Amino acid sequence: MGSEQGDGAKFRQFVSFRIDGYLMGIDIHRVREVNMLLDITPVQHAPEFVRGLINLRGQTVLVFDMGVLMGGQSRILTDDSHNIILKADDVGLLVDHIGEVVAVEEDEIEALPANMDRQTANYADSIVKLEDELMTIVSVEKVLGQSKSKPAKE
Amino acid sequence: MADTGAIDLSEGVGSEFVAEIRDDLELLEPDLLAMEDEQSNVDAELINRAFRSIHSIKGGAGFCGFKDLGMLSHSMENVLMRIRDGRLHIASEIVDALLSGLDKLKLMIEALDTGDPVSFEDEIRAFERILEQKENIDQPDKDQPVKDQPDKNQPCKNQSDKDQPDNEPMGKPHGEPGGPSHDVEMSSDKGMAVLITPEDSFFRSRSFQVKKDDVKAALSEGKFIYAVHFDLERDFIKPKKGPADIYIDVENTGDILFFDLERNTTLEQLKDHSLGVHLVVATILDSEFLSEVLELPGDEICLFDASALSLAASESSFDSVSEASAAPSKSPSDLLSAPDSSLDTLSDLASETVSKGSSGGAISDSQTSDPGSLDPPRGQDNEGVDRGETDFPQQKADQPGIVQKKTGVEVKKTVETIRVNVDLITRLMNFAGELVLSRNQLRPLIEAYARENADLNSVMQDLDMVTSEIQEDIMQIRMQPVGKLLSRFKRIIRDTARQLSKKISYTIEGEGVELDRTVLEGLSNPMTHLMRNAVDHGIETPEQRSGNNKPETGIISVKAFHEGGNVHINISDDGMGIDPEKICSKAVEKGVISKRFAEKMTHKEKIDLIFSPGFSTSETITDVSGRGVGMDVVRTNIEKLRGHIDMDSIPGQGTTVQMIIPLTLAIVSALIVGVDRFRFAIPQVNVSEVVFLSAADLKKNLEKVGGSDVIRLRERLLPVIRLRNLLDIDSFYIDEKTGQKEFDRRKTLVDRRDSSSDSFSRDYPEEKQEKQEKQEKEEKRSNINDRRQTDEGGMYIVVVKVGFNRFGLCVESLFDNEEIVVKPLSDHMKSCRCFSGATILGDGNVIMILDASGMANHANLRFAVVNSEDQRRKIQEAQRGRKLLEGRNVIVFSNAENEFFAIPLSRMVRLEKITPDLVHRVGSLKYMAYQDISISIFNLEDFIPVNPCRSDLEALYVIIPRGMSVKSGIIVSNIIETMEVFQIIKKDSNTPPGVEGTAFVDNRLVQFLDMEKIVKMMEDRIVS
Repeated sequence: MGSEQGDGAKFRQFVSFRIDGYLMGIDIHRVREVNMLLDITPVQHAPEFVRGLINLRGQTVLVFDMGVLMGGQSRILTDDSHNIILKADDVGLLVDHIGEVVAVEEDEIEALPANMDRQTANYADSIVKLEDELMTIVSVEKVLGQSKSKPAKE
Repeated sequence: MADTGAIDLSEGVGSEFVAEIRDDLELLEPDLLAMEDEQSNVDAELINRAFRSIHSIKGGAGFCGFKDLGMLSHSMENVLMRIRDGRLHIASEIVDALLSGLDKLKLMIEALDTGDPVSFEDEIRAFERILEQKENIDQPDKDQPVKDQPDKNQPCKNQSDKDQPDNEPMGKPHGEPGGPSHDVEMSSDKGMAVLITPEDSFFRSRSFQVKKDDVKAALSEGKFIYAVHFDLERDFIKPKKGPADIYIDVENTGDILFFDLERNTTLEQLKDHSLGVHLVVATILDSEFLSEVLELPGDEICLFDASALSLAASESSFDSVSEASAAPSKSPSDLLSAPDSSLDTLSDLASETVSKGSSGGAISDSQTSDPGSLDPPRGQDNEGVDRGETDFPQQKADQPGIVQKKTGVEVKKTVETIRVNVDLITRLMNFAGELVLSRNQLRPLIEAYARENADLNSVMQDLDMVTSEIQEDIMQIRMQPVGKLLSRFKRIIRDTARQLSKKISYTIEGEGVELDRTVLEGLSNPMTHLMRNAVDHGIETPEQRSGNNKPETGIISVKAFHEGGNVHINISDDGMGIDPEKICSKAVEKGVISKRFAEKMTHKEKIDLIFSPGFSTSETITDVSGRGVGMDVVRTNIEKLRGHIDMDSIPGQGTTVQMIIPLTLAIVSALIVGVDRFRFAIPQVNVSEVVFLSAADLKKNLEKVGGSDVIRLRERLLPVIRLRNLLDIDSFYIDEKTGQKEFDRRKTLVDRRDSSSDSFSRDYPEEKQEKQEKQEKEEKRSNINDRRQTDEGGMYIVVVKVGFNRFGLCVESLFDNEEIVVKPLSDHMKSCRCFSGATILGDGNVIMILDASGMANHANLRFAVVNSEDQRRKIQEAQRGRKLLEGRNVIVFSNAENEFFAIPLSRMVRLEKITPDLVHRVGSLKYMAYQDISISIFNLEDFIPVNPCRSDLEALYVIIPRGMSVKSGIIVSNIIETMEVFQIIKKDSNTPPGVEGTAFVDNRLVQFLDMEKIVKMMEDRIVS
């Protein structure tokens, strides 16, 4: 899991995943694990982006629906669906498809362009240009801050 | 004057000492209070213990370099020393000073972190005064003056060492005469220890020789070691038992370390040369229980002190014992010389004793096969006076926390303890909880394979057992005796009582009952409030009390006990009690309840009003209580602990508050219920009962009161909430395939229409029922896919308790009770008011835990409305078959003389006084000017067959009824009064239309008008 690659600490590694086809990444250091515990217990009256609770080896973990966080539809569970469990807060993110761990040179990580839409700015903090695709990097802080900014669903 | 240069608290050692100082402070307070209670005949043990506490505080302070702490504790020590030496009599003032010193010490400890200075000059001066006061009475004081507190590194040690030889035979390491005593000697060879029972016990000073290893083993298992005596006549001959039987009896309770006889000795042999049998047993039972099990009188069982034992059993103990015992008297060292002698010597001694036929009872040395079973009593001359002075547990006085508070003859039980971080225990406990759950999940899986491999079963059973025990033990770690909390109140009560010049004695029962520490902490505040209340409002002043033929000293007693898996704590006082009427009128005044409602309340309900929010009856806001936060806060706090509080009172005799508290918060027993495909847990403490209502019952019993659904359950109205609606289960449904949330609009419509019909004032049961049925149908339709709903279409109604209110929670299915581990909700779920947490079931599924008060709030349940409606129904019920005007305010008036009528005030808009000349007649109709328009007015005799209105009146009254499409009025001759009537209205075949019935009100026959009909008749008349 270390970011050592080749010539030192210049690399950062991201767990990549997809939401509605978009490639996203999350810093591997913020991820506890990735799993397929999709037996999610919904929590009534919780904010919209809360998909529910899962049992992660005896701990309850709150799963956020990454799709809703991004302003889209709630995720449809498929054989590809995964939870990315964050190290912080006992929170997981439900995503459509989990990809590889992508090592990126730090220089390649760019701040969000100024013209980025506000919705994206709500959950992302930077962007990486890969060979043939852009990868949006999710900000764990922004995601965890969601419950404070978004009003509860009545 | 913060202590600077003190050792860094972040270092382990420093904080350890601070923690110990804290413990000592905690120990000191109850002792000081007890000293005050007993005043002159105070137990010497008590003073000594207090002295030791302050002494080790001083020691700790000196070690850590806390100069202020050291100085103040030194002053306190000086005072205590005088008291101990009998040179100072305990008086309340002295205790006051000591207590305030204690408070300052506490402050100082708290201030260590912040570095804030704590001034303590006042206290020091107070102590000086106390010491000076008695200077002339007492002999010259050899103690160093208070002021010259040295700031050497170890001032305290030097100080106390200097004191000891002169002033006291017992410094910190010693016991005192008369206290419980229990001696342990050991012979240094052969790994044997000699246990000697106290002189003042049944056994006299009898010694038993046991294997050190046995003692060590027993102690490490937390067992107690007792000497036990069986009487020949009582225990052998009467029940026809042989020594073997006795041996087995005892062995069932624990390990026998020493036995007088050989197991196979016959009864006959025994009879020949002995009056009884002695043995030493190591067992986990406490002495009371042991005496019950063995059917022996309590005094024939003697507990050896554990710390003394551990000392005896430890390798290096020999030296330390002799050293520690040296100071008080010579005798311990004499005694200790005995162990030096070989076993032979001991057995010689033993036989010598036998030949003397002395006190200890018979010994059958001839039959001892094992040297360990020898019974070598000490020579009589060695013991006696000195014995009591060797208080071994105190040898470790530098280790606070091992000194227990209990006084009395019973020997102290001292258990070794370590300090553990609470977080660690919490984590450990969570893991244990998970272990239990994993075990539960594993069990069914294993069972599938167990048929093929039988070994799995036994493995599973082992795992089962170990898991349960781990869980139990870990829970046990968090348990703390409630006495710790209860004794804290002693101080509060004392101070408050003194402040108010009241005399109060405080008794505690069941201090050994244990509660989870979080629960204990949570109880502290509400109980403090209750105690203050009891002192302030409960107990009367001594003058009042003696005036009421009560003893001057009031009693506040607390009793804790286990019942039904919960801990009950009852606080009762013998004070003036609560006057329900006073409470009631206050509640009316504050608008908590309506006057009408108040009149129908029972005694108990009135007292319960005290728990209403914003309620405080204290006439004046005193310093002690009545700061606006009232009993409702207490109740909320208790309910947070999933507990329950109740109060009852007999005016003039006292008040009792009963609290029912769950043992622990982490694991609760919960009822699992289901709605749709979801399951939820409701903590058992909140569940009062579960009823099943078939669809037909539901239809019959469900109605609306004050906007909520209610059902009648055993003649009681119960607001009901459908969990399905409450949680918007339908709107919440996420399609598994599409991931879309589906909304059922039809359902919402039904809801909307339903809530619009608020028919509290008048009930049309038929109509209601129809509506209900309709709703029922709608519901059915929308629930058509609901497989879990019971076949009959009925519902389970879980009757949920919220405080002393109840509501019914309609659920569709019921599952088992489960023990669940509560997982708190994260911040992201703050909006979920209906849940108090989540849990993982045995099958691994996560479910939510429902929060009773949260649900009630979310559903906007108005208990007061339902309760008052309930009251109304009850009265109605009591007069079944007859109709009652339910306490409505009516206006009573007359038309013709001595013919009286009444209409409800609510049915009229206005009452006008007019003169006859204002009435204008147009044909058969009469008009009058009213608010710039002319309205038609009628006489009662126009509609109903009554005598006509008198025409010779100077003034008339016009009643304008409410609810008329065209304004008009009724002329009446005289208004008698407005009043509230409860009378039953009789109606018979002679009652004309327009009249509801008649009743006698204040000796008048009053006809109650049916305004509904009269308004209609009036409107008809106007239109035509």
